[in-house]
Amino acid sequence: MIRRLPAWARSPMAVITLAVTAWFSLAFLVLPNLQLLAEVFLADGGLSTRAWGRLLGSERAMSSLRNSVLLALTLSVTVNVVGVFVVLATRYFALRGRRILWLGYATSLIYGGIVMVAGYDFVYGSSGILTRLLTTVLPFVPEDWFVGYPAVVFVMTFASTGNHLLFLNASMARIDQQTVESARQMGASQWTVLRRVVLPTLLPTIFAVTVLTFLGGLGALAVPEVLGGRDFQTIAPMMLTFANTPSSRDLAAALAIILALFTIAMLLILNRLERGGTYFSVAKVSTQLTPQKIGNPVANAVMHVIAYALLVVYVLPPALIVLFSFTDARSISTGTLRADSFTLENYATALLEPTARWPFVVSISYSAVAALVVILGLLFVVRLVTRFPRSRMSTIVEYVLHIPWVMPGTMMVLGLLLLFSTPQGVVGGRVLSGTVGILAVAYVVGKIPFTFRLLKAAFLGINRNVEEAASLLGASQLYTFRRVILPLVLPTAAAITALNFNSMLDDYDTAVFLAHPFYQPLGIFIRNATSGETNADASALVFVYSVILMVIATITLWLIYGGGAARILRLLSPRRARRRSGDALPLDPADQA
Amino acid sequence: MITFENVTVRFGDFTALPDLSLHVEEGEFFTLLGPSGCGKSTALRTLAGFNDPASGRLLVDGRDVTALPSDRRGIGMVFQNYALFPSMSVRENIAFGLKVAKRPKDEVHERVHEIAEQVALTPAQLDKGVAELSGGQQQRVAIARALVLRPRILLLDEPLSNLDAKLRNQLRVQLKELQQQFGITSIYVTHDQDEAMSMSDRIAVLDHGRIEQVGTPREVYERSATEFVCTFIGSVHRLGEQAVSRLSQLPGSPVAEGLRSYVRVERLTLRERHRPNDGRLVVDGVVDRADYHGYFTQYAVRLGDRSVSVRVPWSATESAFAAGDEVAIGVAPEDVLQYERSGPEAGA
Repeated sequence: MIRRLPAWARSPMAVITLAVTAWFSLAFLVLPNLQLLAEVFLADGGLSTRAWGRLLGSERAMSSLRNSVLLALTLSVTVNVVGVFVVLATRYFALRGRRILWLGYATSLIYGGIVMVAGYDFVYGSSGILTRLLTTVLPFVPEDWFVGYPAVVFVMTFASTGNHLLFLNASMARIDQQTVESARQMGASQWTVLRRVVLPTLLPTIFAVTVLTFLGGLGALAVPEVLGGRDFQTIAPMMLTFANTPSSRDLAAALAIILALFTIAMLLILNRLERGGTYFSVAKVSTQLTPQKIGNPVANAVMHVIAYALLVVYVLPPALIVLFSFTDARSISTGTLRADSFTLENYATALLEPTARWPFVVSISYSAVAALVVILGLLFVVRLVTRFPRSRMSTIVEYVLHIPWVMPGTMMVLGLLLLFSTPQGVVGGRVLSGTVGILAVAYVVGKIPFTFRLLKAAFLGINRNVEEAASLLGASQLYTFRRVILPLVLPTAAAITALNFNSMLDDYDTAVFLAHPFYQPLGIFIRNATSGETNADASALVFVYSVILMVIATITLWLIYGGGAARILRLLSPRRARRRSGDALPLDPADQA
Repeated sequence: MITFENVTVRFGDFTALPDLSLHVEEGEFFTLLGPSGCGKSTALRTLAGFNDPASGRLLVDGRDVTALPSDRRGIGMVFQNYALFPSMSVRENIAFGLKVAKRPKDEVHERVHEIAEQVALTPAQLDKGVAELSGGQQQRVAIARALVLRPRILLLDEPLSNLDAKLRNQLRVQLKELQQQFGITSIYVTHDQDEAMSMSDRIAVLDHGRIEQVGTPREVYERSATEFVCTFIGSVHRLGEQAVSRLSQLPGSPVAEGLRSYVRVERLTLRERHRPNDGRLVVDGVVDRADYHGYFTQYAVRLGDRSVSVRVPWSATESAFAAGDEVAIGVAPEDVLQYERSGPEAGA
């Protein structure tokens, strides 16, 4: 009888892990989405199309849909133009100061979300430094010139090229120098080599990052909310508006479902692209691509001018934020600098003043708790799934945990908000909306797919015989997990935890729906500071927080992708460092979706 | 000592081992030999407890171990890729099983050093990470880790396949010496016939999960029981019907007509024409190519429209041939291996 049970059912650890996973998935992944569907398709105890009728009749909602699609399509072009250019300028062509250019462009990796919106607002907004300069020189320019569709496209274009810097750059590095040399040797011009050899090789990656860009544009919240103005609101800000009005929640849910359908379609395309594979080098021993000198002096000059102009656009907002974070309130409000303007008082206030540092403490706490919970939980779940890879149970668990990957973040958040606005039996008959815990739950939910995919890759990378060897030597499953498996996946787990922690620190999109009024994280505080009604002291705090967040992001990326962790390990324990080999996380566009 | 009793192993609809029966004697170095996918590793992993048989029993000293967990079978195993724990030092790897068994610290220390010495690992190497060692050293760690628990049975799953040819030859000898020194019953899996022949007391040749022949290396090579064993081990020539007919007519010849007939390449002789045939069938040919390999020379000899490969050992007395030389190839009737068109040996 006992042999008829599936193998996993004979392991107490597997049964407990599965029970907890099943409860969590039902409560926080499945039911919230069912609740959304119910909001849209059920009314008065039966099926209803009322929500769709109201949606079609709402000018604002329909306009937001059109705007979102327009934004996504525009960004698919602009981000690719800028993104491909910056990768060519830093990786393919031998431009002067390529390292500086790369560092400047890479600010988009450490400076995003609401922090970046605040930075651009400080430069280009109605009371921004550049706006003051512009209105002084050209008095006919209105103060609110940087608003609406162009402003949103401008900011999001520079915000979204991070994917190009990561993925396209990595792809470019894998092009075989000898393919370029052989094309040149056969008489192809530099332009022909780029057009016929290099860019076609990069095409699968360009398609993949285009899908990510499209999705980013479609679901954008912070940028259109702050810079879109009255006339350019998109789906996500509109969902937020509708969600805050109890009578319009069905409209918010209907918009979320439309967003989800777009997302699913895009992910199917991404999946197809992934299956199509890539074609970098067929050589057994490939040669690293060396930067190409531009032969034509005019083309060379034009490339340099554009590259450095873009550098200014990239660097100006974060550089000014860093600079003004060390100045007094008067300098910040007037945008002027004097020798006696510089002070460390903003930092002292932000770090020492209990009320000032509260949003930072809240963000750190939420990020730390969520990052630890998601990694600890998934260590057990992924272990279960990889230990019984052929079982139907593993397939179901894997599909269910990918729900937040398929559904847009705002939809998951809205589902949680709507479901837990009333007492729910699945959480002991409690109302969770408005509590401190619901935001942490949303953070954990949002990080599950990314964590799961990378952790699973780490587990699958372990030689299966290692576990069998441990079992032959008498080790129990738990002992093998603790002593053999865990040390092998720990570097990956630590890297994922750092990335998750970092990405949640400046979150705005989730917090704006779910944050407790007394426990508002940094994202909300920064957003409020961009509303134009805040004083210079609040702006100073925003600058300090922005700098701290940039420093944390830089350290995280250096540790994980820049070889920093390995260097530190070598310093602390040379022998242990020698034992480890490349623990860097793989770069895969699909993980970012 | 070890008995596979009608063991069948299935993976879904695929039957990897259909009804395997086999007996391995105590202290024997027994090899499972066969091409990739023939089921030899499946048999080994089933004995180790990593595959559940669909039917049949596994007996060790007459005791049924089929349902026992792998660590209770008294088996040590060396994997193809060694399966060392990469996060641990050499010492920690070897001591792993002793620590799991909660042996006293002193005993762990003593046994680790003892086994390390026996497999020629130095004390300095014990504190290194396993990634810092060469392939041969890693293999010794894997053997030490398996032997330190003093198992009665040692399973070796192609442990030499990741090493270069020279090291492989060297470690073959060391492995065999260790096995004899410990007197441990060993089952060795390989697809390399040289390895099997040089190390084993007995060999089981497998094909598609079925045993084709069990015997000593000499029996398997010289009296191959089936056409598969004959063609799988060593290099053979299939003789044409006309050659078989002429061989059968030689005085006292055991060769029969109507059977598939083979001769091993090293049993062919190559001489100048017009020399006495010594009771052999002699066929005239012309040397197309001569490939010098040091201790033997491989000749491609053209016989009409066919080319036959002949391997001639180095000799101080016999003269070497060059391309274009007219030669005679000789086949002795007693060297002919014959088989029914399908089925076992009909008579060699």
